[in-house]
Amino acid sequence: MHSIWRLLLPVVMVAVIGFGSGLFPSTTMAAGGTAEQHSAAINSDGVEHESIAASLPAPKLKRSDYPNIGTSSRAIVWVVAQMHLFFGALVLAVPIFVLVIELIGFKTNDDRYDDMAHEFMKISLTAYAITALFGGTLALSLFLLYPQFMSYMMQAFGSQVLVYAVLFFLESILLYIYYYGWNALRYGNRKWVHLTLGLLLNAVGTTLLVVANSWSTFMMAPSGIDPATGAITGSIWEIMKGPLWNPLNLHRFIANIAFGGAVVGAYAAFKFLAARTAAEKAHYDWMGYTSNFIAILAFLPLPFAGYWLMAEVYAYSQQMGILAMGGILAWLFVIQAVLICTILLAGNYYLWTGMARTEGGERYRWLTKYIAVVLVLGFLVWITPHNVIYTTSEIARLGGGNHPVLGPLGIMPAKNIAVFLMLIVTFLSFQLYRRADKVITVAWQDWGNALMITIYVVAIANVIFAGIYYGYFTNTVYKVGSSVIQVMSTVVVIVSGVVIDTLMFKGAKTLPVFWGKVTDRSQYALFALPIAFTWLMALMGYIRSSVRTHWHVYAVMEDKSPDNFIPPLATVGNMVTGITLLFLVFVLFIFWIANLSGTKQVPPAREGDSTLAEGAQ
Amino acid sequence: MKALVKPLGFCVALILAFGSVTYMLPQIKGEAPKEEEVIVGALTMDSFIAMGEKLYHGKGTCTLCHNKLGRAPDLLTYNVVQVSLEQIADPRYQGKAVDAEGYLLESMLQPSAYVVKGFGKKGTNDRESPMPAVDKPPIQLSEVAIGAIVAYLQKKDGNPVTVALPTAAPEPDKIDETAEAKPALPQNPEEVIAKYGCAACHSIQKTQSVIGPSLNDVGKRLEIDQIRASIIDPKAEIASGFPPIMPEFPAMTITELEMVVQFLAKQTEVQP
Amino acid sequence: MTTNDELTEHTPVTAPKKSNWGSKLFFVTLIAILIFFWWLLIFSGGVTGDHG
Repeated sequence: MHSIWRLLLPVVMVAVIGFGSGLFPSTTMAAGGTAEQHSAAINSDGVEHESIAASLPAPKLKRSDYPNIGTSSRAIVWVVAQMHLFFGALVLAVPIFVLVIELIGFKTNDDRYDDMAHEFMKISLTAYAITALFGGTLALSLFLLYPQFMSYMMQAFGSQVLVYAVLFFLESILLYIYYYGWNALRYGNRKWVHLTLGLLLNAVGTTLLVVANSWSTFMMAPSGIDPATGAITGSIWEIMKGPLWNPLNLHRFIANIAFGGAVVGAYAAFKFLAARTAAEKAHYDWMGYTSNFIAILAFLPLPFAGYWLMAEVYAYSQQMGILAMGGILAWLFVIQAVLICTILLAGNYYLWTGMARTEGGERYRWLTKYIAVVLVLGFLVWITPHNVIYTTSEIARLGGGNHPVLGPLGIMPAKNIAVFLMLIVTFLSFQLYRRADKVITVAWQDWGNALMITIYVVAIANVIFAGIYYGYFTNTVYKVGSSVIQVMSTVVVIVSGVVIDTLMFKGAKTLPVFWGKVTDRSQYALFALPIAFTWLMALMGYIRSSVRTHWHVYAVMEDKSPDNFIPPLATVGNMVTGITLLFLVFVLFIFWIANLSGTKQVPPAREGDSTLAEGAQ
Repeated sequence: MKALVKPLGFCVALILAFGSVTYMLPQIKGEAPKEEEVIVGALTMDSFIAMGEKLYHGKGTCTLCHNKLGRAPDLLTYNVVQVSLEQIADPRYQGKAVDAEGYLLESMLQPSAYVVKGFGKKGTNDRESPMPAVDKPPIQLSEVAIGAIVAYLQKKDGNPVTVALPTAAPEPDKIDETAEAKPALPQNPEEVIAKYGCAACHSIQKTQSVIGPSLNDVGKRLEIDQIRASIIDPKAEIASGFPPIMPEFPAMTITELEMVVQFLAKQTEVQP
Repeated sequence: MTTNDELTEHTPVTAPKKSNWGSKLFFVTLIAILIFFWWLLIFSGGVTGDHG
């Protein structure tokens, strides 16, 4: 025991001190280059800081400067980068909720949670190898296909290279100890050690995430540079902490958890359908429910994080913001609507069918059709485009460029109303599900329920009113004002719902829940969820990349490659579809491996005995 | 395995369904701005104005915000010259323009000099404009281009065009600024290194890379002829332990080659 | 929770002292990590988010 303590303490101290003190040196370039281009930059602590960076401006390329390997370089990097991001997201996300589940199991002394957490980690381990594979391929392809761009990025981020390498070592060490040491560090103080390792694993993973995010956000909104030449003038901190860094950090952190939950949910659904005993079915049904819970719970705050990201994009460059949401890329958000509505419908459907597991679910069934109506109507409003390409005869019949009914539905206020209502009713489905297996016994339940209903009604009225008033009766620039009211209303519903229910459930009678007692059909919702999530992730990744238009680094290093155009939507659709199918193949491989590791071949019969059929379990 | 077939089929079908949605939407390709050489000497006032109109709807990206959605004044719906004069007369106006041409130029080059009421960035009380300066990246219009747009804006409402037709310069002007921005031949080895992207793979001076051998001590490791040979024919001899991925540089001039070779021959110690 | 660890002192007369250094380790690490992320993401070397 003492030895583990002695081993762990220095690791923790080194991690804290090492990161704190000096592994992030500032980039000061060596002197070189023409003297008259020397410039002194004042950085944020007021210290004058000479840089020769002015003599190393961002490269200005011609088409012929780009290596040509006979196929689209952009397509290659697109596929490899997206695959790396998928698996990276999985590898970073799974340990987050595994740690939480492990903690719950520890606190409730319920082995089921601990076993489930351990099983989730098995998936993460194989995914880790694939992440590294694609990461290495990505680095190779970037250096091969975009050498001058990478040279510039190395000037900006060179000092991070060593840090990134060290982080990967730490991630590997911690991941392996966390997984393989699971049973050895099972109880008491050892379990706390295991949980601490899980904490450190998550910390390292999250650090990897934010370091890598800085490369993407630098490309979109460069900081720490001379805007005129692109020369690096700032410290690594100024380069990293651009306006989009923390918004992207938050968005990706939360989205990873939702994505991870969805993928392990598919694993559980598959195992449920393949299960042969009632015990197995019950186990995987419960696992599926837990995964769905994680996915939807993490999904709910995502719109707010995404909103922050887009708001910062607009603040940095209104042009970039408009391009994304009002210009050529705007159509992609129609596809986003289709995908998110799929996610919401699948998540809600799964919750409704899950209510059949308990007899208390019956009393809430009447509400589900109203929720379904709101979801479908919201979906239709959300996908209504504002600018449809009409033929001249259609325009003549319409009497203008916009349809009188659909036109108003096409702009942000209508969509905001739709989205927030959909989020509110999704939370309602959640709340109903949680109440389904309980009979509330507190004396004040009528007041509590009345309060909850009032909050819902007021929130819904707020969302609708604010959307209509600010959206249609005030100047365009005030449209954004409606969002605050709508966000607050939704947040109040969620927070008060959780608080009120927690209080109301005290002393409640719990009805039996028959895990495994769900239809096979309900499991398909658990397949739809990760498929939609994956497609959505690839789509949003494309938007993030494409919003730079013909710039490698926006407004600083121009893209002169043969691929410097924004492709038509069908091309984007083909790429994203292909990448998602490729992801599906790899995920099947991971599930198969996870399955295989638990398989034992029956030993062949000895000579003389009747031959037993060989077979897997 | 049978349990796999239906879910797999469902997943593939759903993926393809999402993909098919992209086929139902308008297919627009967003081309990067093309380099257009404008022979200034050949410009007539009419072609100058036509160029301005094309730029207004194209490379200038004006219509991204200047449209009827309300984000910026829709210049095509009113008499721009008349309104410009009105804005100059506005007591809030503190810019330096005295005529419509000056006002339009100021709006494009220093958009925050004066912000029309109601169109400022939120929270700045109409003191800061969300419009970017059009002569800087990412729009980067040249002087000729900006003049053309002003001329177009004046002409479209029937007002007299006060912008002078640009005179023929000794060398052809380019709309996309590459003439001004094109770097001259590298003057020193560091510029050669930057131009050919050596630092992407090789540690040199203060940059670090682990893809290729460090060049900070190459003068100690290789003879000058070997250094030259590694650049001319990188595949001939690969340093052990490194991947054979160094590209050739057919565009490198003899001068650039010699400059960098002489420089590398002097790199004889590993820098901290 | 069962304390199945060897740090329990073997004193035959008094009850074994339950040492829960494990939970302390966990929470200290948690605090350290939160401070680390504050340093990385919020403090960020003193850079204020004041970008053009």
